[in-house]
Amino acid sequence: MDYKEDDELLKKENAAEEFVYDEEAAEDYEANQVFMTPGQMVFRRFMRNRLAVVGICAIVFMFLFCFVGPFFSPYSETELFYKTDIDEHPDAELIYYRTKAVQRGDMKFTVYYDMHTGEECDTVPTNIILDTRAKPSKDHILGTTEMGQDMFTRLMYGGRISLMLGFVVVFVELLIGVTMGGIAGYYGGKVDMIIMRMVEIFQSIPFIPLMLIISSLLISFKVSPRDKIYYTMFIMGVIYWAGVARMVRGSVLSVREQEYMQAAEATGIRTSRKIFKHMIPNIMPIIIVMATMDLGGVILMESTMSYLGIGVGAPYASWGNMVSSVNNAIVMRNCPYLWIPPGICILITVMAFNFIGDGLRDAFDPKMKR
Amino acid sequence: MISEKDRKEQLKAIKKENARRYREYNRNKNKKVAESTYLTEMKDDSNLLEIEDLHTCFYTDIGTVRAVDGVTFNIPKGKTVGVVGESGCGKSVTSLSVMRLLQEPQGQISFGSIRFNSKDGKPVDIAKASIKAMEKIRSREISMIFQEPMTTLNPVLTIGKQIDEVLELHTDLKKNERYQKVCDLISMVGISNADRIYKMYPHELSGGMRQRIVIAMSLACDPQLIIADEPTTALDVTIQAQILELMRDLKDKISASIMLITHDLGVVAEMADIVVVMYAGRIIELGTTRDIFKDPRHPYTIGLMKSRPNMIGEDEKLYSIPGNVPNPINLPNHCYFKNRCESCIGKCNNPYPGLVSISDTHKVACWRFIEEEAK
Amino acid sequence: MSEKEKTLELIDLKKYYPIKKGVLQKVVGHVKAVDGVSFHINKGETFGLVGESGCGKSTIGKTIIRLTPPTAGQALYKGTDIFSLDKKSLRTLRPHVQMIFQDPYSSLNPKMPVGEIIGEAVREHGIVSDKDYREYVMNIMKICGLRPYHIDRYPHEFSGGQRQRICIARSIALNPDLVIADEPVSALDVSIQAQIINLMKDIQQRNGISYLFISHDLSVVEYISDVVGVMYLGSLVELAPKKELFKHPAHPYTQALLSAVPVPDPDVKMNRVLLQGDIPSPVNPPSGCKFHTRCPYAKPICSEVTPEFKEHAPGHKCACHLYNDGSWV
Repeated sequence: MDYKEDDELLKKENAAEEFVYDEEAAEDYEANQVFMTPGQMVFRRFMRNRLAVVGICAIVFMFLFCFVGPFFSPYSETELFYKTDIDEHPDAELIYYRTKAVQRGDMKFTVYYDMHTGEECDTVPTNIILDTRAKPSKDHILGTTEMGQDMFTRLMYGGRISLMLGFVVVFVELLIGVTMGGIAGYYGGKVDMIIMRMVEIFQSIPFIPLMLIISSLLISFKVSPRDKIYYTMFIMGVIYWAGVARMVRGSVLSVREQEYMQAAEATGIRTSRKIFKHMIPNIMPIIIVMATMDLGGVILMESTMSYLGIGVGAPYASWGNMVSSVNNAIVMRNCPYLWIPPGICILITVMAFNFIGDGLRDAFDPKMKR
Repeated sequence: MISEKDRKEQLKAIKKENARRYREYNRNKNKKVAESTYLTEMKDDSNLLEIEDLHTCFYTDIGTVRAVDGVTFNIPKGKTVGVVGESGCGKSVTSLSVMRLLQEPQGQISFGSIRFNSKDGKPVDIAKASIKAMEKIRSREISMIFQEPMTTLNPVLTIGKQIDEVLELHTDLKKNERYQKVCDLISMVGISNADRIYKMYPHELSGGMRQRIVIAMSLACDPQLIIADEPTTALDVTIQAQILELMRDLKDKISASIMLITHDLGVVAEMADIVVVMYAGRIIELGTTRDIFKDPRHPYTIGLMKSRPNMIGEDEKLYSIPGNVPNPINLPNHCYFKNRCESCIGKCNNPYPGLVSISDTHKVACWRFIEEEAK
Repeated sequence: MSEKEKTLELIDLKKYYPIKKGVLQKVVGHVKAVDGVSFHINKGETFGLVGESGCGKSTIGKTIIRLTPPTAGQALYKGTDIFSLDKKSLRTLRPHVQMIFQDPYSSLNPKMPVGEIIGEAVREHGIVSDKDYREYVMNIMKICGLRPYHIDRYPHEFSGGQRQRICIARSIALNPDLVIADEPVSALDVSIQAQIINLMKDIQQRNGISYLFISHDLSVVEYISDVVGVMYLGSLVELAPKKELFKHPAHPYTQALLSAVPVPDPDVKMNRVLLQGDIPSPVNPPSGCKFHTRCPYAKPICSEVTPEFKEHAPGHKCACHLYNDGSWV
């Protein structure tokens, strides 16, 4: 065959020189292999998890709905709507507003004041009243709330608060938790002992009673509803750091035992570099997963608190206090449009965050699969 | 370097192909397999296991890995076959294919047959057998010894309980008969004081003792074939010597065949009757122990023997095979060892060489010997 | 022998791990991981330390570079005691004494590109100027048989052998005088082992590095070492120049270790000195000679008196009662 000639040719060529390992050929071959960066690998594994992708879609949708949606809404968050036939006087006004009749010129007006803060909400002629708990219609897609505001618009604004609160609380808890957990795990010994006892103390504080007390304190100090939201975020973050710290400490301890940390120690690099370049990138996956899972938890906690009336209060909307409008069986039966939409929003968001968290955990740690 | 765009496209194509395979697998998973489809005839009745043209593939994100690529060899009754090769050469995957313990659907037997001469005289093709049939074969007829004795044993059960469990599942022995059998097994692997060991937990034993227990467990149902996957790699040299001694003793006592998978040429030389040398998923040389160690033909086998530091104590440079094991994805269609081979000839650019016989028992896959044959 | 410059001298190194029990964490005993080991490494030479798992050989390596604090003893690096250094002077010493770890998979930070792994400490210690930094790293990588384009890749893309090359590159990038290699090849395949050992030898010839080569594999140690020490349960039982040790292994344990290595030759049926039983626990080591429980030549005296570690021939030390009557050949 042909290759016999080839063979002889090659033999002649190679006769004089010794065998040389063809590094270049091997190199070309290696350089042309398909490879993936670590980020790509995580992304690929994440995208393979269908539930997680659904979760991402749901969260993106919620964000668009809450942060972009309001720009397309013709109404504002606290705008009140009225109706002109005055057969009955709704109870809601007595619960949510203090009213005062005033005479301006030859017309009689009713001034609405907020029950809690005493701020003036609106002044309307006395012959019209608030349009509360209106059924869904062309003007109000999901009807109106029991305070006479547009349900759909408030749902969007409520989502803003709920989501923002979730992110801020998680940020605060991570800030404190990662620092404290990192210090405890890295230095060990007495520092570890003290921080871990603190964690235990924080974890044994009953959260809801504490919030009840704080909430009533805030009211008695006449803190405005807006500031109350900020206080709530901060307090939740401060109380939730303990769980994060415990988790971070555990993973720092396991990373610290890895040989590459010992190698870093042996090369004599600075402690700060060891922590920020070697330690943190390797516990990052755990932190990210934990943060995602906690987002759902915080949003759920916020709705619990708002439902109990100690979280976000009127006039601001949050999904939690919107659900709390169902405070008796009659509303529940007759006005499902008041509580089902915010309830569904909470359900979808919390579930989506949990799906994403699960997906991320599997993506970061392929050994956990199946 | 290939461009970023090409790379993305390739990855996409791979993803599509994998999705198709997974779907197909899931469709067939729950189908019932009729007995007739996996009953076969042995080519030679003196063989216990005949592996013919076995292909096992792993469908990964960055391409299909042909972990086992057309492997053919036989395990005769009562003989020990040593499978040698470096990590990633497919020796462990071969054994997992025989046990059908691959992580499906990522890893699948894509082609070939594994004929097993089972106890009841009906040869079974393991590659096609149903899950139920496999459950019967595993541990009753084929058992496995793993590398890490600590993870093989369940830390919360006593030693006796664990062996007893195997017997309870696969035999009809009564409780006291089983106890007697367990004690016999424990003393068979060279542990005195079986009664005391029976009640101990794995963590109370040393590594060597644990490996003995694992061996006892694998012998529990009188299997016909024992697959030992690196049985001594995790052990110290002096303990390894003890375990090898024990296995040699047992080999004479029981009639089972052993498939010994290891990277250590020394262990194979001491234990095996027949040696299979694998490289990048293929068999490159096959023969009796004497063939392989006294007259190695394939450049890779020769290189492996030379690169082992031997205790002669010369100060020259230690021989080493240049380069690395090739990436198992997209292997070129010529001898995989070509780039690292010192005695490479022009013909090596031709497609992958098949196995050629040098003697009755000795086969090698190298173009240099195909030429010799032709002459 | 004593005229040669000693890079490292260990004097009676001890490392005990306390065993704590009960609510009050009372110390009830000690694991004597290393129990009085002395040896020295000459400049440019390799000291091979052999022993089975749990004999304390890795602990010695880690103690020398102060990854764990010693219980007693001294480690003189060119005359200065490493154990008495304060934190600051320890950091300046770090680049001179480097370590290569056993597992090339866990000893590389998975989140760092290769160039950074190798060059990080070079920059930290200011070994080269910032201008020459990248070139310096490239050069080190070339010496260790890595390709230039590897510099931006991550460890997970490399095979075990290549990873171990990265580890070696990381340690020699700091121009050390002493490298402690803790089982550097035992996780690798045979053909790759040979490559790595050759690489380490090349580097030694080039830079005049001393190695403390810790391994359980006698054949590897035999190839690379100049002097070999055999350890059993925390103490040295035999120490000799390589050729001497492999020609005339004196201690029964060394003999057993040598004969236990399987030989790739079906015709050689060795007269094995097969040891019985397992290695005793270092918590309660046997009395007298620690090896007497497994020793085929054990005499009554062995279980009572600890044998002296004494020099029987020039440079050949052994701790065994067999040679006390002058039966040394």
